[in-house]
Amino acid sequence: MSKLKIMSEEEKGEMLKYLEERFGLKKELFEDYVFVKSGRKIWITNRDVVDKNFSGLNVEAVGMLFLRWEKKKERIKLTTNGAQMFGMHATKNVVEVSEGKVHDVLCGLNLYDIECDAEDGYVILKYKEHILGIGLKQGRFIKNLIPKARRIKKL
Amino acid sequence: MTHKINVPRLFRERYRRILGDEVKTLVEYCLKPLRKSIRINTLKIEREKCLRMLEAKGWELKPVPWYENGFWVENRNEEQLGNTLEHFMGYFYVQEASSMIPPVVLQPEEGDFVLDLAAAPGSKTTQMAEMMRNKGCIVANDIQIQRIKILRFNLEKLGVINAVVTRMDGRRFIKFRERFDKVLLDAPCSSEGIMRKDWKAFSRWNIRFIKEMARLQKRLIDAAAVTLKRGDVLVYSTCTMAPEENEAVVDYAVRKHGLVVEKVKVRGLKARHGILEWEGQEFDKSVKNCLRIWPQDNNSEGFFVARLRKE
Ligand SMILES: C[S@@+](CC[C@H](N)C(=O)[O-])C[C@H]1O[C@@H](n2cnc3c(N)ncnc32)[C@H](O)[C@@H]1O
Repeated sequence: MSKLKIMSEEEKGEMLKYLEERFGLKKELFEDYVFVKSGRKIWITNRDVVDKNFSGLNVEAVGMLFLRWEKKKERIKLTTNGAQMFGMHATKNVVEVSEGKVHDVLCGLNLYDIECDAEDGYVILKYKEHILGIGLKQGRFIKNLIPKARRIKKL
Repeated sequence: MTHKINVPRLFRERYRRILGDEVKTLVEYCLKPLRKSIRINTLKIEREKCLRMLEAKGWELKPVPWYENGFWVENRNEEQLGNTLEHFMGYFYVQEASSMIPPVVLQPEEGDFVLDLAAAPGSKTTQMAEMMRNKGCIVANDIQIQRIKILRFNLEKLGVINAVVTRMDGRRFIKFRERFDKVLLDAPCSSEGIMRKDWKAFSRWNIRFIKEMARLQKRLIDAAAVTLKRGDVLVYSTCTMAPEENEAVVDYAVRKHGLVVEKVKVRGLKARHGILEWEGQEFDKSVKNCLRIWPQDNNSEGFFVARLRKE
């Protein structure tokens, strides 16, 4: 992580606008957090972290990888961990995974023949109150975007 | 259940000098498989709620007395622990019960600037983040790139946002004088205490390696002592029983840096005092205040923990 800077208010405002438009996540949810930018990667951390002295340290990561920023709005992607942190507050583009399908999702399988009122694009996958991660919806198909390393083994 | 493993004769002889005949019990425990334990991650779920979910699956959970979120799981194996929704969600982390002790002894607080000098794979970093409720800041350092990947993965999965991961030789922190409020040095060691997880390790066991580790540990504790602020606390821990890597390193830090070994009491933990003499070398009397945790004491991994204050 070479160049690392705190996101400007303007950039943060743009990001929060996206999160509100796409998932109905209110900007107040993010008031206590600080976002750090490195290339297209955005990391979330707390306020205490930013005023600490890191001079001379070889920093690889700050806080949690939260979102991948893209010029094209429809390509901006919240991470699995970011979704798990805030997804319970989302009010739209949330897809409920049925009891019968949840194991498949945890194993990384895609979802077919899904009927829901979510728009195409990135959606939050949810089972009961548990936020599983992010999927990419195209019509009735949802591509599973849970990272390989997170998936559980097929039983 | 015991296994056909050759426990080196020198290993028995060394610990006979400390334990006398009890060394038989030590060897017996070294060959017993380890109880499984988990730590519920309250950064992502309330403890009671997670307990209810796991108990509904038929898990038998027994509290680890020294850490309120620690539980032994009596009737599940490692694979069964891993392949669950709760594990996927990061609601719990598989962590050996004795590995929960060093953070309990350090007691990091919400606003602290903490250094975890040898942090990967992050069992103790994630536990400290939970104790600090994601406030303050932990610098989680390690030297090995592959292990740092796992560290980062675990931090993120468990919802830790107050950690800054660095990749450096821990010895280099000697340049950053009096920077941190608390330091954990969970040192690389010969790992005798975890042979219960990996019996093959006995075939690699040798004194040369212990001596080599002890040299590295002294350099790391030099750095830890220098980068700690005055008045604050450093915890030194290992998962080995070798006095060269334990009491001798603490004794060195006391003499070289004037650190004071504090008395510690850990709830429900059976531990012995640090020893005061090894192979003709006498240690400072305060070294007695260290915790020496043999595998047979709590049916856990072997561990060593010392709480040191910089006055
Ligand atoms: C006992 S393990 C740490 C376990 C960790 N504290 C936990 O609870 O998950 C020791 C670690 O020290 C690291 N290490 C070895 N030499 C080091 C050095 N010179 N500086 C920093 N870290 C080092 C190893 O890569 C290893 O990850």
